Amino acid sequence: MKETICNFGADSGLFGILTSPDKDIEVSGAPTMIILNAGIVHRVGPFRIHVDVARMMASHGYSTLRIDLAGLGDSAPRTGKFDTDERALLDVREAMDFLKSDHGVDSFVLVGLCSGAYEAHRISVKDRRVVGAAFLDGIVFPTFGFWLRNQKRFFKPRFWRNAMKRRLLARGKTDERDGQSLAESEFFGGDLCQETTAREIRGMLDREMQLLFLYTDGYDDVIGVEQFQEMYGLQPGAEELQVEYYSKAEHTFRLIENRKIACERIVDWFKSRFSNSVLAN
Amino acid sequence: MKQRFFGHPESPLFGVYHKPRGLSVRGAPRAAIICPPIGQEYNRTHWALRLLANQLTRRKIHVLRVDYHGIGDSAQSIDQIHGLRIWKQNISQALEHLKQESGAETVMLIGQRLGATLSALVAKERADVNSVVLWEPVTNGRAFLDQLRKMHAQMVDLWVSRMTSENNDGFEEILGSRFCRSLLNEIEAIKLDIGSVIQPQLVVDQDSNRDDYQHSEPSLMKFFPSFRKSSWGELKELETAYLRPEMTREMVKFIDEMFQRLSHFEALVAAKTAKAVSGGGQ
Repeated sequence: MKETICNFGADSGLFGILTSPDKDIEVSGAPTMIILNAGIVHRVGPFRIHVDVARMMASHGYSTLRIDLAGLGDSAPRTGKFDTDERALLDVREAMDFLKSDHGVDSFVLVGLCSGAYEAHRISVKDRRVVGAAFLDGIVFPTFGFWLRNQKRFFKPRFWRNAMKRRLLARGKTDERDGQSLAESEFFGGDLCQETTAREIRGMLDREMQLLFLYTDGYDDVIGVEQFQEMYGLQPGAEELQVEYYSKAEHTFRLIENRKIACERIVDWFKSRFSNSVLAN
Repeated sequence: MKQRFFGHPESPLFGVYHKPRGLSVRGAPRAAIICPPIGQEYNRTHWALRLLANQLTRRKIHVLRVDYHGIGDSAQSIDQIHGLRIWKQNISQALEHLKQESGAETVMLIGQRLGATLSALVAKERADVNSVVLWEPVTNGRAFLDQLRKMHAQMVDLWVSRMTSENNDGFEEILGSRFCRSLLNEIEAIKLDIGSVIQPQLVVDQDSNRDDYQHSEPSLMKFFPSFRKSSWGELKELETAYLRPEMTREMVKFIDEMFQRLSHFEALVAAKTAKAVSGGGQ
């Protein structure tokens, strides 16, 4: 395994780390995985999950670029005139251009957690070089099923126990900044439309993109794998559409055991879709 | 700002070198290494330390931010780190690298939390460390680990479903990191005696007062209390970026002054610093 510094984009201001496998196990012709920032956490990811995924990918013969979008981590801010909504798209396109020119790669799989998943979705819609994507706690919409399942939470003693304990822990420690914190839905921007998102996912499937959606119980707006079909009218389980729900995992995979499960799932999913034998056909 | 891997190619260290622009200051080059905290505290402070480095660079200081082995972008995982010796060696490697890049003969170490403790320990062993900045140093290893363990227990207790960490004789999971027992034992044994560090030092601490830091040579130590309490022990802040812009600006001013004094006393030149170290700071 080798890790390489990558500077790309205008004035080489964007930064990422490319983790490549040893030559003897490299799966030639496979797409390169690109991992986007989760919120404002720099390229190592929450609890170093991006490093874990990239190194695990390399041990199976695949390359991964962990990037800092403009203005995050150790990348320079983007200057000049541009549409701020398109910032991540511009950054990732420059990453893909760099990987094409310097490493000869022309297909990519995007991975993102939370806001990273949101950006991965938007980029996947607009750039056909993206042949697959793994969305971790990505875009969700409330459904009637969610409302029903959420009611069931109220009958679990642990729900009330945890709520009370959290309140007690926070007592006397409130901060004026708490009132200014953004709700998750606000974080994703206000232009999200369920029908449009569903149409875009169908468009990705029509392009034969490989999609993996992972959701956790720690993500407040989703409960159960069935919510995916309720949101988008798509039946998961088909080869190109995998959806999973981790009922014991927090949003950022704080516990090692949960993080390991998520990393292994992503790598196994990638391997099964971009192995030597699949790529040969 | 230049990112790079350095050190042994089989197990490289990651660092970001911030090189000052324009003309350098008169005299010997000024250089500083930023030693970050470990574990989740490393993630929380990444942006603050980048800002600190940027501001120091504007004061014509060469800065290298380093990730230790098992942390951030450097090689290995934290469960492969068996003792503090490895991280102290990493700082020494960074020091050699920065001296080579900047042309500086001596270097200031700026550390935060456990990074501050490691900086102080390295300073005691190296004559080419001209001064240290200790930002909320871990002075008592047991208290530090007790705090982390308490937060971890709270986190698991408040988990979405009943969970336990798979600990054993060799390893212990604390707040998302799997630590080797031997490393934890060494951290637990830390009792940092600030007075035993003979280089000039700036101590920045929000939770303590001046009397907590005793130095036999008071003129060598400056204590800088800050405006806001820290939140290292609060679970709800576990994933919140640690930002202290006002304090960072003040620290930069103090550090600039420290360099001016070091330059005045010719302590930026290796021979003079070595003489001071060997002479017990007299």
